[in-house]
Formats: sequence, structure tokens, C-alpha cells
Amino acid sequence: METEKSLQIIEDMINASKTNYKRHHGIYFLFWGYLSIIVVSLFMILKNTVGMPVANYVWGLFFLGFVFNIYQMRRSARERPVVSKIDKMVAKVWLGVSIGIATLFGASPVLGWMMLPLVLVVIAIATYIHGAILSYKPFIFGSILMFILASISFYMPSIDVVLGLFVAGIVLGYLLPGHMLRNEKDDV
Amino acid sequence: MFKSLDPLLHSQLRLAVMSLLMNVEQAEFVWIKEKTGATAGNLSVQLDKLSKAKYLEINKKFKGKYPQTLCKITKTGEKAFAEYVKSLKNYIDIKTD
Repeated sequence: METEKSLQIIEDMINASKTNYKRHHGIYFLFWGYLSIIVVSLFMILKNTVGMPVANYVWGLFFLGFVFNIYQMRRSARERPVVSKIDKMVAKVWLGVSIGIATLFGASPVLGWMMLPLVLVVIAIATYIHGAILSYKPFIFGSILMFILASISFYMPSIDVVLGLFVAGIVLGYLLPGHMLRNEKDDV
Repeated sequence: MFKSLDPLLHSQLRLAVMSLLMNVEQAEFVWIKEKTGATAGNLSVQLDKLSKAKYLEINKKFKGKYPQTLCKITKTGEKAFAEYVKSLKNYIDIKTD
């Protein structure tokens, strides 16, 4: 085989591997977005009915969500014909974020309600990186919105307002771009 | 001085498979077959050769009721591919000088 032919094959195959399967990334945004809304809503209801100690158990649902997410990721990787380097990179970013969020939850007795804006900042950073890797602008705009809402939250004296801003950040900066991505078409 | 080209990679289909897998994390047999335009039989034989040389990792699983073959490039494979490309460049450079 001629050397030129070898280089041509390599070039052709590099182009053939450039598939843009990004639509499936949206499913994780929908899952975590809706889970966050459910958890915060349940927390608010329980806080106003049975009181704080019981209401705090609701946050444990995030751990169940994490376990389900890992299971779903593995299943999804098996079902897709190809797993790109981007998929793996993004999964690593969110794994780091999950550890960061767990650390913040662990420090909640010290941080108090300031934990929620901090969690929103961490989510915004990961959403920004995810958007930059996928070249998907709604994630970048969503992350900027979450940064703004988190900044405002730090100055809010009421727990309910902080929770409200957190939910608003998740819905507008995370869930909405997730829905937009799910409605996109993959370039196959 | 020409560097010798890895005979395992210096074959059209095997080189195509390695070039494809260099750019993805893992891929199904069917996807590789579609992208390379090879026949299933020929592709199986070439994948087996690359796997025996530890250039590829092949996992056979089930996707529902159907068998599924997943291929992934190994560190040895990545190194061999990089070396092959380097040698190729060496050939081209000498020719154009």
C-alpha cells in the first residue's frame, strides 16, 4: 500500500468518526432538572408541615438519583452504536461535580442555606463546560443565568427565596436547555 | 533512513478500523462495518488479528436478545498507531525534500 493511500484512509476514517450524537446528553438534564424540582418542592411542603428534621431526609433522594444515573449511563452506552470521546469527557466532568455537590451537602451544617447557591454555582460551572464541549449555546446561556441567580441568592435573607431562586435557576438554566437539546436532531 | 511500517497496520481495512477507533471511546461492530464498508466476515478476521496483537479490546455482550460486539482501542494500539503515523510522515518528508 502506498503511503499516500494510507494517509487518505486515515483522513477518511477520521471524518467518518466525526458523528455528532449529542441529543442523548439532554436526557440527564431532564432527569436532574425534574428531580431537583421534586426534591425542593417536597422539602418545602415537609418543612411547613412536619418540620425540618424530617424534611431534611428528602435531600437523600439526590443520592438515589445518582445511583440511577450511573445505571442509566451504563445502559445508554450499551445501546448506542458508538461512544465518543466527548461522552466520556462530559461524564467525568459531571462525576467531579457530583463529588463537589456531595462535599457541599456534607458541609451543610456549617454552610446553612448558603449551600444552595454554592450548589447552583457548581452546577453552572459544569453546565458551562458541557456547553463549551458540545458547542451548545443554550447550555452556556443557561449557566450564565444560574451564575446570576446564585449571586443574588447569597444576599437573600429568607430560606424560601433562596429555594425559589434555586428552582428558577434549575428550570431556566438547566431544564429548559435540556429540553431544547432533546428536541435537536443528531447529525449521523 | 526509512522507518519500517507496522505490517499489522499497513493493510487497508485494519488501518481504517484503527483510524476510526482512535477517535471514539468504543464502537459496535455494526458501526465499524458501516463506516468501513467491509463485509462482516472480512471485518471479523481483521478485528481478530488486531485483538490478538493487543491493539484492540473486543467485548462480546447481549443487547436484548441479540449479540453485540464492542471494540475499543488499547494503549498498545494507540501507541502503535501513533508510531505508524510518525513513520508515514517520515516517508512523505523524505519524498518531498
